[in-house]
Amino acid sequence: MHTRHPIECIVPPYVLRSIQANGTPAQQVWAMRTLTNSAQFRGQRQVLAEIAPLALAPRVVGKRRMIYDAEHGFILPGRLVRSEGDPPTGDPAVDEAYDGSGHTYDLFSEIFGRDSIDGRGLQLDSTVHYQSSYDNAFWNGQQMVYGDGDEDLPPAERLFNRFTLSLDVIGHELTHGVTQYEARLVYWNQPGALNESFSDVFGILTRQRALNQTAAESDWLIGAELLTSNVNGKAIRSMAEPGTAYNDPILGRDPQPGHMNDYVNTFDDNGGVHINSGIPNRAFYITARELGGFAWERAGQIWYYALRDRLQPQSNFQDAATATYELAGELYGSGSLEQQAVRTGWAEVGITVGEVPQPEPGPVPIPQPVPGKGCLPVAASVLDPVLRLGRRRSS
Amino acid sequence: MRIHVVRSGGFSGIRMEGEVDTGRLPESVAEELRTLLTEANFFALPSDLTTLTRGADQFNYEVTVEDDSGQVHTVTTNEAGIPPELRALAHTVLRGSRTQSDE
Repeated sequence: MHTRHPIECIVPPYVLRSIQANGTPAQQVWAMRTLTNSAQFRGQRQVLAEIAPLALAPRVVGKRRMIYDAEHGFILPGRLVRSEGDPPTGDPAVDEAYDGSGHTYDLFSEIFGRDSIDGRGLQLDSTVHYQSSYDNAFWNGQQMVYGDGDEDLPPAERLFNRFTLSLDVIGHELTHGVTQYEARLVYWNQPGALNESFSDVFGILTRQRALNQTAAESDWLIGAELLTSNVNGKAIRSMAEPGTAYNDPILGRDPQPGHMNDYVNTFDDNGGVHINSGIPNRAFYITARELGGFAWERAGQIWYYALRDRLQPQSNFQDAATATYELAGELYGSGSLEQQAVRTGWAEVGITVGEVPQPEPGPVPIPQPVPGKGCLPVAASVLDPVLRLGRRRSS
Repeated sequence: MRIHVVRSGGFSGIRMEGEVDTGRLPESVAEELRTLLTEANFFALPSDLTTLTRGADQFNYEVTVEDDSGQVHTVTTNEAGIPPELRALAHTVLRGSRTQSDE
């Protein structure tokens, strides 16, 4: 559970807000500090949002995109070529990175109520034209980086297009940043494959929302625009049918499993993080297809809260299955269609949840007003219903 | 001299592997690779040049060189740790092998 300093509870937040607005400068500083401290426990973002205009005045919040050009070198971030609000440059890589990070920001902001990668308006930095003939895109812990693929080769020899061409790739990279600030899943074996899978999930949701596609209408392909016609393949990964994205003389065959029976043990690729992610990817796909409609509305919500509030650096597939199953019950009701869909999704990939009664305690109840103790009821009154989904520490 | 390069990880997770024998390459390319190895001081490099870093989808590299005297050395590294000379060498070897296997 979260702890609060008792002193912070003596003065109700609405009084603090009044002091902050009307008090002396010293009182305002004190009130601001007390408000922000007491609001720091997870979930009270709304409190922060209310005081943000005053308390965080120097900090610009909202969508702030910066696109840089590495000019085919490897120095990051490179030369700034487009800032938030600037018109298109005419360079496709620059403008795709700008638009794509905007679509991803909008998904997290408008659907999940999250302000950027860190939840506090972190500036979104992207570098394009990284090195030459660079077949990759990555998140380096601070920013997104995109190569041009094989664009320097004659068309007949190209395998990869520029990596900004697929919107879900941009969403994928930005989501690695979100994961870094939330579950902090280590980049190795199952936690790493979950890290990868969450990036594919929110990458495809970014694409589906931009195209206004339902779960049934989406192709569930990751990186469909990256492969040229010289490659025998349709994408880098298939969330619906892992292992079927490509089968090519040079690139080899898509190695992704779609079931725990086919889990790949390897030291390559950080323990197969891009390989075994096929398993949780397919669990999400099946859940979303079971539910129908727009995948970001229910399946996406469940997965987002799992990433934000429940998973931890060492979480494995079973932990993710349990977390999403429990969240579905808390958000939509025990035994709801949503919870059944989550169970089906994981069952189809060989992971069982919800077969036995869960010994875990139920959701943390919203505190009820207690006369004479102003802090809790006021704080609770501004809580979004979902914010009671506390992070559950493993024992 | 034989140069063997493995690159794994990255957004695609596709493992790419290539090997060249400098004796069978055009002299200009062989000379370029020898120069890169000399500038990198390859045989004096630690076997693990991996830089621990946050982030995701970054390449991992393994470069093995056997020179004409039979001396063999392998260096394992990643996007954040690879020296520029090895980056250029890995690129040349992987590109060359890709074209070869395409024939």
